[in-house]
Order: sequence, then C-alpha cells, then structure tokens
Amino acid sequence: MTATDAPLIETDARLIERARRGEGDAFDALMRRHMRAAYAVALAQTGDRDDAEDVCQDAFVTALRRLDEVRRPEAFVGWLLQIVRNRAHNLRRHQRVRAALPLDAAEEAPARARGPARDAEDAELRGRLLEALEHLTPTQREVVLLYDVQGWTHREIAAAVGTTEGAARVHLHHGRRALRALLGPTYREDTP
Amino acid sequence: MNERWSDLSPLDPERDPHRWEALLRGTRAAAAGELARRAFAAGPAGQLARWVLPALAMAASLVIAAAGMLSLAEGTPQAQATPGVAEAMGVPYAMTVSAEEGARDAADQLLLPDATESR
Repeated sequence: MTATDAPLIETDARLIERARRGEGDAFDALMRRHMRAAYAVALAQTGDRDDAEDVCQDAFVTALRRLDEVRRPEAFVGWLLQIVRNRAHNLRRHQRVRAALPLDAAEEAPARARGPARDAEDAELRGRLLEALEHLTPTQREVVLLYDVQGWTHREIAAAVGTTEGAARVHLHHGRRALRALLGPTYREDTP
Repeated sequence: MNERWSDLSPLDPERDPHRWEALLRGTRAAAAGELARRAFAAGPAGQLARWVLPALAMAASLVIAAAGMLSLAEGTPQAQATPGVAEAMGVPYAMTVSAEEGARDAADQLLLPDATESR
C-alpha cells in the first residue's frame, strides 16, 4: 500500500490540526499512516532494528512537540522524515542508550506465534541484508527500503527524500546493483 | 537458501506484528505527555490562561508605570501651581498663600483691617 492510494479517511492536514489540539486518535492515525516510512528511513540510517525503532519513537514525539511549525501539511511526511534523519544522526553520534519501553517485552512474544525456526531464519537473512545495505549510501538505502519494503512510488520517494523522480530511479538502480553484487544472484531485481 | 530475502521482506517491520504493535504503543505512550499538554492548552482552562496571563502582565506594567508617574509628580513644587489656579479663579494671591500656610485666621486678618477702616 502506498502513501497515496491508502484509504484516506482524513487528510494529513486535518489530522495535524486535530493533533495540535491534543487529540490522541489523530496522532495515532498520523503515526500508523507514516510509521512504516519513518522506520524505513531510520533503518536505512542506523542499520539496526532496535536503533531504528528508537529513532522512530523519538522522531514522532519530536514531531508532535514541533507540530506548530508545520506550514505545509501536504508535505508533512517529508518534514517528518527529515526529523527521523536528524534523530538517527544524533543517535549515531552520541550512541545514546536505548530507552526501555514495552519493546523489550515484545521480544519474546513473536517467538511463540511464529516459531523459533522462522525467527532464526529471519534473523540470519535480516543480518545479511543489513550488512549488505551498509555498503550503500544513506540515500540509496532510503530509496531501496522505501521502494522495496514500503512499496512507495518514485514520485512519493522523490517528495520524501527531497529529490527528483529521475534521481530516485538512479539511486534505486545503483542501490540494487550494489546489493546484487554483494548478495549474489539470489537477489531478485524487479524492474521498477 | 530461501529466496524470500531477495525482496527484502525480512526487513519489513510488520513481519513481526507483535513487535510492530509494541513500537506503536510505545510511541503513543511516549507522546502522551505532550498530547495532554496540548489538550489542556486547547481546552477552556488553557484558553483562559492564554488571556489571563497577558492581561495580568499588562495590568502589572500599568501599575508600575502609574507608580513611576506618581513618584515623579510628587517631586514637582505644588506651590507654584496652586496660586496660578487660585488666581485664575479670582482669589487674591495673598489669601491663597495665607491659607496654604495653615493660618486659620488668615481670612479674618485680611478682612478685619478693611472693617476697622470703614468704621
């Protein structure tokens, strides 16, 4: 599901307006709508799931505090992703201790639901992917994750990353080529 | 090797729904304080506070300004202004000076000589 073809019951502008008044359901809706993109960018910047989750949480709270600064609600996601990048940068720079929130409790729950074998397999694959992604530039990582994991279009990626559609395609092409070289022939490169 | 990794799906955060929901819950919990602050500010009490505080500040500045003006006014010589007003009302200068000095019989002293002279 992309950012634009999702069933938008309320626009970002309306949700932002309500969240400014402290309406929790509006903040929830904004969060659920944009968390995946924020996570993709955070993961691209940090290369670590735990860190990416911390960055996302921190970025959304920061965005809420600074919500009055949003002048163009239609560009909210781009503004949010810039906060994510800044928070990720700060995290890397200062190596802050990860906040202990309910995430810790969630670590054990999925194992029962999905099975330890699949978890181990996922962990191994995830590790290889993250290691390979480390060899890409931050922008390439963002574009690859937003396109291949988040399912965004080039237009959406261009708007969020702050580049042109053509440049987004180029970043995707180079990023995928690097991944294929790093991961071997099993990496399937779908044509955009 | 399983080929699922080829489409990066292991990096999909919702692949682990429990963990994903925990992230959303944690973010919501972390934002609760700011949401409460905003809700208060948008409510009647917050609106009132928004008007009361500047009004109080304005009143305080007015009081300070008025006190300053009063203290300046106290330093000016009153005697110079009073005879002028009295003179404008037609009261003789000698009477006003005498009255301001607190002489109770000042008027009598001023008038009596005229009475004796008329006798």
